[in-house]
Amino acid sequence: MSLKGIDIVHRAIEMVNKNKADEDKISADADTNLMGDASTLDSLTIVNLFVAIEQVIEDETGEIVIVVDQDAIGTDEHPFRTVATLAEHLDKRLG
Amino acid sequence: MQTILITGTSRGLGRGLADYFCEHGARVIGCSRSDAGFEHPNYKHFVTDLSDPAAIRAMFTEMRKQDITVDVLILNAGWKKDALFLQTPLADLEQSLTHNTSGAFAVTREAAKMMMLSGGGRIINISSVAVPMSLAGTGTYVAGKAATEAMLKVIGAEVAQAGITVNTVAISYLEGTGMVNDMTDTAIEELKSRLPSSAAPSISDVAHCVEFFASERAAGITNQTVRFGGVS
Repeated sequence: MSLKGIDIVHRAIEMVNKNKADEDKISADADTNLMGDASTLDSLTIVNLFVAIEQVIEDETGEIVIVVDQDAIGTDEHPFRTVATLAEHLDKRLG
Repeated sequence: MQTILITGTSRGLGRGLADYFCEHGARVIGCSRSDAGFEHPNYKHFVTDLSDPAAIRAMFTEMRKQDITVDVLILNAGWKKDALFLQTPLADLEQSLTHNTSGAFAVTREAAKMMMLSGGGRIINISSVAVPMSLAGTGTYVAGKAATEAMLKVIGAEVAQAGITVNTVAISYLEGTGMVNDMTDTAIEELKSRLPSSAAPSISDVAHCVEFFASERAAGITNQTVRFGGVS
């Protein structure tokens, strides 16, 4: 696949931000906190982001990939903490 | 202009709903296993087997490529084969669950994802009063429809925060639909005799009810069921 994890996350953030007011838009910066105590995103935004990521991957590869690993979410070092860690997770996941 | 996806539009109620909403200014996307046999400037058809999840995903992928965003999903497609329980092969139950429940699940899942990203939507399930009436011979059909109704109640609760409503319209005796075409005369008479209201709804009456749930002003109404025929 030509897209890198960071490109996928950025494209997904762009999709989610389309319907958000300026003050609620997700920052695409690498250190933006997505999930965890430091995050300011609500649960619906998180779900939308994962839906958007899966959609970007499917449109690009034709493959259905479930991004969220419920076991991983329960750990302190889960891969959904920031934009950067999520991108890294996607790179590993998609090989 | 609302974009409405209706499943099972090649005949019966689905065809009638497609016609109604096209005529009332909506953009209608229809799907069925066969060609539409129906043309309208506001209508686009996908030949899709709703028992095949991959085909459903492919339909949504194609819609995204064409910049189609579904605002309203009408789950109309259904599978029905009446027989008394002791004369019903297990395969019929499996067919009902595949077409009436799994198909609805897969379409709803894809549509809900699309609706979440666009800020909301409406999901309207077409069911039958046979579910609460326990009509003889409808066991497999009712199993599939009841399972879908129950499943959609949970989905409705899960997606409410995303601005998506989920409601059910349960039809009674409706001429010209698959529901009636597959019934024996005896079963039709039993159904009619047990309906509290003898007023037979038309496709237009059903469309009116669906249109209400699809409307902007019904944003606060979710997980509700309207049953025709006076059935509670």
